[in-house]
Amino acid sequence: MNSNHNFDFSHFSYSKKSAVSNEPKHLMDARRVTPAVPRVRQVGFFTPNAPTQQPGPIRSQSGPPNSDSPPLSDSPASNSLSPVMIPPSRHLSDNLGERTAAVPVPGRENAGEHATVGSYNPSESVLRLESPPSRIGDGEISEGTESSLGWYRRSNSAKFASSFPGGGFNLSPVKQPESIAVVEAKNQPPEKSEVQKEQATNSKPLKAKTTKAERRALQESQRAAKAASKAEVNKSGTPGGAAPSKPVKQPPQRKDGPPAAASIAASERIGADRPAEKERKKDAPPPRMQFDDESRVGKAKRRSVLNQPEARNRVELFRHLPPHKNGTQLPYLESKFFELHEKHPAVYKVGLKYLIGELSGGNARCIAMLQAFQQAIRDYSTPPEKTLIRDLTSKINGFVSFLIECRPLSMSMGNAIRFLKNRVAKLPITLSESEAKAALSSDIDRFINEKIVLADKVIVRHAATKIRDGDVLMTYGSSCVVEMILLYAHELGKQFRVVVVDSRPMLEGQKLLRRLVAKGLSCTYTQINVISYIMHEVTRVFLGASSILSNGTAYSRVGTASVAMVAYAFHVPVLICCEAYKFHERVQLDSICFNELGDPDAIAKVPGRVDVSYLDTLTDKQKENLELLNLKYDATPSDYISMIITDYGMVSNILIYLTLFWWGLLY
Amino acid sequence: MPDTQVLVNDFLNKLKKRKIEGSQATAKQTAELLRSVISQTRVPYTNQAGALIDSVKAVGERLIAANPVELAVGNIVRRVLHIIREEDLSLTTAAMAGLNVVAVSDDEDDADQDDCQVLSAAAVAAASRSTLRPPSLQTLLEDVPDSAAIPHTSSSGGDSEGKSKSADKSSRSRKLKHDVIEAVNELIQDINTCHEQIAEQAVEHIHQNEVILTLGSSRTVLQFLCAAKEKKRSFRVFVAEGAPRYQGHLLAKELVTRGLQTTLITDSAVFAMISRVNMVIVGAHAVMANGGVIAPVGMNMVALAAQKHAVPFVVLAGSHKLCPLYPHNPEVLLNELRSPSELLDFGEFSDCMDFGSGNGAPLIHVVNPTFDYVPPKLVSLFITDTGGHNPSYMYRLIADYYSADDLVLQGRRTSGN
Repeated sequence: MNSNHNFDFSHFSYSKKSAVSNEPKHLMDARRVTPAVPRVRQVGFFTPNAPTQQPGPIRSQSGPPNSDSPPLSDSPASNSLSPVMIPPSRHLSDNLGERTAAVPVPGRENAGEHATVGSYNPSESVLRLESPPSRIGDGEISEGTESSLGWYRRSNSAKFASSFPGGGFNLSPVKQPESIAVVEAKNQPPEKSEVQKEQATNSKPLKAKTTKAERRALQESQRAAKAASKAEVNKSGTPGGAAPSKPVKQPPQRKDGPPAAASIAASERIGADRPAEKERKKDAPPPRMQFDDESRVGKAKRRSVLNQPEARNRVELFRHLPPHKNGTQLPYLESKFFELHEKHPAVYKVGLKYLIGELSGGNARCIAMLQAFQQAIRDYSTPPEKTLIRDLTSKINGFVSFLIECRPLSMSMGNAIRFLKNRVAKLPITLSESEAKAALSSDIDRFINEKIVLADKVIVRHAATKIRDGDVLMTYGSSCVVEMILLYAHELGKQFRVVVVDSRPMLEGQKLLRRLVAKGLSCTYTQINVISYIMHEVTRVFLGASSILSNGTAYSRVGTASVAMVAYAFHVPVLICCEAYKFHERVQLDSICFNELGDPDAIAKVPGRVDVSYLDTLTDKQKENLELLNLKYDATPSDYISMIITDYGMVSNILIYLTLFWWGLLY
Repeated sequence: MPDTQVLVNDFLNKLKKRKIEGSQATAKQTAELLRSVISQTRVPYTNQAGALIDSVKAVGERLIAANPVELAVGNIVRRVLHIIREEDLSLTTAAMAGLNVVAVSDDEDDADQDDCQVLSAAAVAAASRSTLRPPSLQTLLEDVPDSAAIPHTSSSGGDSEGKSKSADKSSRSRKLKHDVIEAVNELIQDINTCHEQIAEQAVEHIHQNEVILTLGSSRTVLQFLCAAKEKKRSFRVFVAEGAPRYQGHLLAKELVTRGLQTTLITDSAVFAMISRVNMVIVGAHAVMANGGVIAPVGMNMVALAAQKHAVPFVVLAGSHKLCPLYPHNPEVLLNELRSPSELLDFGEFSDCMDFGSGNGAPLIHVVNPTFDYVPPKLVSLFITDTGGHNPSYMYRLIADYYSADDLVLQGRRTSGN
């Protein structure tokens, strides 16, 4: 590992990419030292013999077969909480060789060449796979559930650096068959071509305005066309040009045999990259609807389905946030079920579930939403005189705005919607309606499988390595990933105790406690006030997050920040478990500018405590002075987070910043 | 003295059953009980102070044992002891002054008297040096030597005994008890009025449009905020509810009825909101000699959040809350676990309670402590009835109220147990 470190380090200035992949090791040495971040984009492209496109930065990391570095799972260090655990994929060459060799490449014209190339420059070969004209592979892909490869090509490179799924599995106690890698490789091609386009075009803003839906759709399609043509150019220009703005990957293999096309590719990429970058700038997330802006709120009210609740006793500081809508509107909405033709029943149902709080938890909400959309797409038929792409996009916008009315979207859902819209926008016009619908449906399946289900599995395996016998683990609220981690570690036979910290008014911890106890875990239950009492005995804190912002802030259930803060004060490591699809490029410093308000009445009443009814006796006049604030989320500053565990591996904080930065190029 | 015995036992029971809420009520009742104990104590002709001290100590030790977590009991016992020593000393010095006059006019036992006087003067001087008496600005300005006002010394009891023989015994013994009871009455008065005295300082600390955060409920905080409100300050208050007792609801109600703009938040939202708060004002359960604070559970979290955002963390505490002890492992030793039913509904979780991990140990533990310890470094300011103080100044303040002799009161008891 050491030699590796030096090696990579020498290339630090060459390419940002390799800098990213180096990060973990710096961090190991000096944890919070911010490395001099090289000037961002140019670096990679300016090197004359620009490295070839090797999608797997992991390869960059451990470059030549690194047989001397022991597999992490065997080393004792793997159990310790080192700030960054980047599993060096150990038999890299084997791994890759197998990957490339084993990939069945249906209908790939240069399959033969591909195999040979793969022997010394496997990534190159993978790139070849990147430009399939259609998404033939989709069917197989959704079957290939083991793949956790992202849609985001950008992240491929950056995050692989932290841990390639293959390598990641090596880390985990349960060995995954090598075939995963194969599946991944299989999966890659179709994604890549599309994702690349995706990246070039503007992504959809999170909060679509229904009124502008048409215009948006138009813009979208124009952009798509532009991007497509751009992509065409790239493809024709270079063999590996499928990734126009893909930063340079790694040096080590460059030596082995730089393909002749590399320099061309590099120059091509410079050209291709600039416009993409410009568009990305335009694409900064649109400002959110500010609810203290009366004119806009009025407009929104007029087109809304729900009755807007009276803004009574709203907290002054949070006037810019949408007031909580409680479930009392449910009967009204149910009665309108058959009137609202434009809302698909599946979407409607999900919306109502959001409204009454039956569906909660980032993943559950996201999956339900995607499945509802899938259902809606299946039942969709293009009206005459309209094109599928435009009409479907506006349809989806309508669904989304309905869901937003029911409950503000989480950032992860925003990402999922963005993904879906991109998919719709990128549908080749040549596809028939049924083909397009099938493609979209399988895309959604794949997103759910890979980005959520599989990602969770990978996170669980990563995180389980951080649990030792005798640990006392603290968790806050109820995060489904953390729950899976605890159960998995318990299944592995690890002896540990769980401290479930809870807080009003959600009391989600009680449900978690019940499930954990039913599985036979030994639990301690407390409320959030008690954390500084109990923290003395805790050895690790596992927390979930609703979103991780690009300044390293974890946006999570309210109270998480307090738990992390106290843990930090007591020098207990805080591990945040979060799927990569929940990352978001927004930045936020406090919990006030953006948040979600819950039901204020839940604050005044304490269920099960008849003695606490002080506020019931107030007169209306007196109540004017009283504001009840029920915040749903808060922002945990990155200093409190020791490590973030994502499906791309375990990263310490500063790395997340860099990783996110590259990931951010996607949009 | 059967009636005091009854009173003591009654109070002991109340303490044991935690029937008395709040340190102010406890302090007041302790002081009243000790007053009646003193008045019932039969004082011998010799060593009256010693007898009073012994009887107060005997009762005090039992009271402290009844509720070791309620530090106000121990504080009041120590202060009453201190009062006895102080009154005794002042009587002695007064008697000596009288004797001095006598000695000048009457030469019959001059050698003996002079000897005594020199001795006691030396003792008084030594005492004033040993007791960390803060040089007050007042004395510096007025240039009054404060040694005469300095009372408590370890040797003073013994000295006074020796000299009391020569004093007018009958009048003195009556005088000592009378003075002590007077002083204890003053103490009770102080305890009663500490809220007002603290609240008087409110306007000096709260400015217009201030945003104040507090956790749980404290009468001191309530009066402090109301005093500022009465002085026409307008400000808003965030009240964290303070689970599991939810006293914050009570405070919010009180504030709202007094017309203060109040926002009730959950404890978990403290970190989110503290960035918009100008000042954190909280009450305390006890203040330790090092400036650490024993406060309702959750306070450490608030203090840490305040420190993170550089928000002043102000603790209001009446002087009866000043405890002369230095805390050791206060989170555990000065804490008390309350019923788990406040956190978990037994009915709801009764089915889970049966799960055993094989060896019969229950799978669920519920931790519900009452207090939190806030280390002095997290506290910006203490506001007591004598004014504002830095945490590092606490030990000197404590030297004003307690005699160094009595600090080990509890220690001896615990070692005896």
